[in-house]
Amino acid sequence: VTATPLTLGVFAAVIALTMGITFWAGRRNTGAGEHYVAGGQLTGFQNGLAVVGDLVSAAAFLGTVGMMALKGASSWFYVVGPFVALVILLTVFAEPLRNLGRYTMADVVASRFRSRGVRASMAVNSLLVTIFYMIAQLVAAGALISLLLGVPYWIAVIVVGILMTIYIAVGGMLATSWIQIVKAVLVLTCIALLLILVLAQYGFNPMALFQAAADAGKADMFGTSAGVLSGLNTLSVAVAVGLGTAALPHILIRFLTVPDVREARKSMNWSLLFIGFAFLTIPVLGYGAVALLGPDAIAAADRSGNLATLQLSNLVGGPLLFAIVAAVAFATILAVVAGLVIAGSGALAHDLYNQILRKGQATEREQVHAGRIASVLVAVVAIVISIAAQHTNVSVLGAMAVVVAASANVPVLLLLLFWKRLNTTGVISGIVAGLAGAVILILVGPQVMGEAAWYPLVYPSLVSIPLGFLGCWLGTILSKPRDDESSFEQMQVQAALGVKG
Amino acid sequence: MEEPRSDGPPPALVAAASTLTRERLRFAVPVCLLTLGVFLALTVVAGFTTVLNVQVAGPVTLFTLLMVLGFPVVGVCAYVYTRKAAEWDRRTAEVLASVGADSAEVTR
Repeated sequence: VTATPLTLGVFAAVIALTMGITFWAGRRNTGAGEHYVAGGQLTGFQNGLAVVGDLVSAAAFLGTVGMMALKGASSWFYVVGPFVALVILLTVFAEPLRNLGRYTMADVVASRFRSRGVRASMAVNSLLVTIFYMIAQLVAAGALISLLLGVPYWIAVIVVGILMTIYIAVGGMLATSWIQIVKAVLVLTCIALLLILVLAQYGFNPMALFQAAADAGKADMFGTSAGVLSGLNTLSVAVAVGLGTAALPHILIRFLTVPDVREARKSMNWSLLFIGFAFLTIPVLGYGAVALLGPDAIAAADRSGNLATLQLSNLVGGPLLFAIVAAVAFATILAVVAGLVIAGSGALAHDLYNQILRKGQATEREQVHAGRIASVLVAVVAIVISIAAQHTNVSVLGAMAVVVAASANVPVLLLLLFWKRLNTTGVISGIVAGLAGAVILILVGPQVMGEAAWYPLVYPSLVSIPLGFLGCWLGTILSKPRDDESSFEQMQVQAALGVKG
Repeated sequence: MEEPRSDGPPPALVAAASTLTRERLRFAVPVCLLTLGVFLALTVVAGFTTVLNVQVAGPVTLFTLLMVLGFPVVGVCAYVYTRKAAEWDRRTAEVLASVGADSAEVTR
């Protein structure tokens, strides 16, 4: 697996295409509305493809294929969980959030609770979740580019970081959305092509492929291992991805880029169709990888299996397909990190700078300028951490972000929409409890402390999500509503009917 | 800049929003319980026991088969929701028309 002029040429084409989109969008990126939510004028189909661009990330396209090849059937939780989460997104969150939000997640919560503390805690939470998720993408980017171009990992991470910063600083959400749309079409095409070529190796007989995978795999490729600790670990992963995917800030703000709830719903339906295809196919590619390459070759290339998709494409399609898949994986990473940067920079610039520091008085020009500076800051932090996190499976890193989102965002959003008594203190204490619980338990868990871990499970969702709910409840019952809170009825009218009373 | 809060929405809007929210919840809660609940139940069974490791077709186990079945189930739920939501859209439009354009400000 080495760089060829062909590979370099396709990479250059991807960069040229995304830069072209960025500078096209940059001419239209004139105000805060355009910068943060593309003016709210995307169609449902466009936004649906952009959601695909967000969710079919490097963690799925690279990480899950490798994980399936090396760890077997337990990897199914990483694709079925997020897909199930889309039902919650469609039936519970998408439409009310479209009606309540403006540019960011904090705007949604601030539609009922105007306290600066609420906005600040939601903004900090959004920032942390997006940076966690960004690290997963940057680690994959660094591994991919250093392998293909022979450059050191840290240089590769910095180059991707610079590219993603340019996308956001120049083109804002419009550039991000169109990069994600183009990437979604490319990645879906690649997945379909790989599926056909892998199945062709077995006479288009899936059962022959599955048998070959079962014979070649070291792990149990179709069954799971049972045990108290493994059972709790599995459940904690499932809870995290099944709830957290529905509460990732960069996914939720996608519903602010469409004009109304009908288009938000259409977005979800299109994304369900395409993501369903992708997530159903990706495990089959994992079986193909282990059957055709063997687990030793996959682990030798990257011990976490992050390069299995590329190795597979080289085997079944030769240098041309390898170059295309590598470039599409690169585009995948660029598109996802762009979406993350816009979510993170929005929290920093719109919520913390404009709404809190400037009390909402910044001009349109100042808001866009602040968004651009914020994108640089967010990128720098993510790059530094990514350089230190080189040898971690990107699916695991992505799941960490999802745990924090599930623990802090899900309780607050659900109770915001459906619990009349929730008050300002309840929101803040819920966010703090969920966020702190998730982060602390990750830090004292096996992912960070190894065998000396104080908390035995890799994902803390079984504890941290209830902590988030408990924080909301305790904070509410132990305090009184503030004068600056909007009534539950006002919020409900806006969420359900799309009007401000 | 944050907008000042008004005294409150008209009672007709409050009643309509409350009814629609209840109806949405009446649909969403069972659907979410079906999809997420079954997924988590499957996780518990697969995580703590090996009963789903029984092979149903070649090397493919009952666990894998049930995981795959999650995809069409989600698709059916989305289809049914979309049909229901079209009815809610129609009623929302009727409510907004009945209270008049100047009693409410459409968001964004």
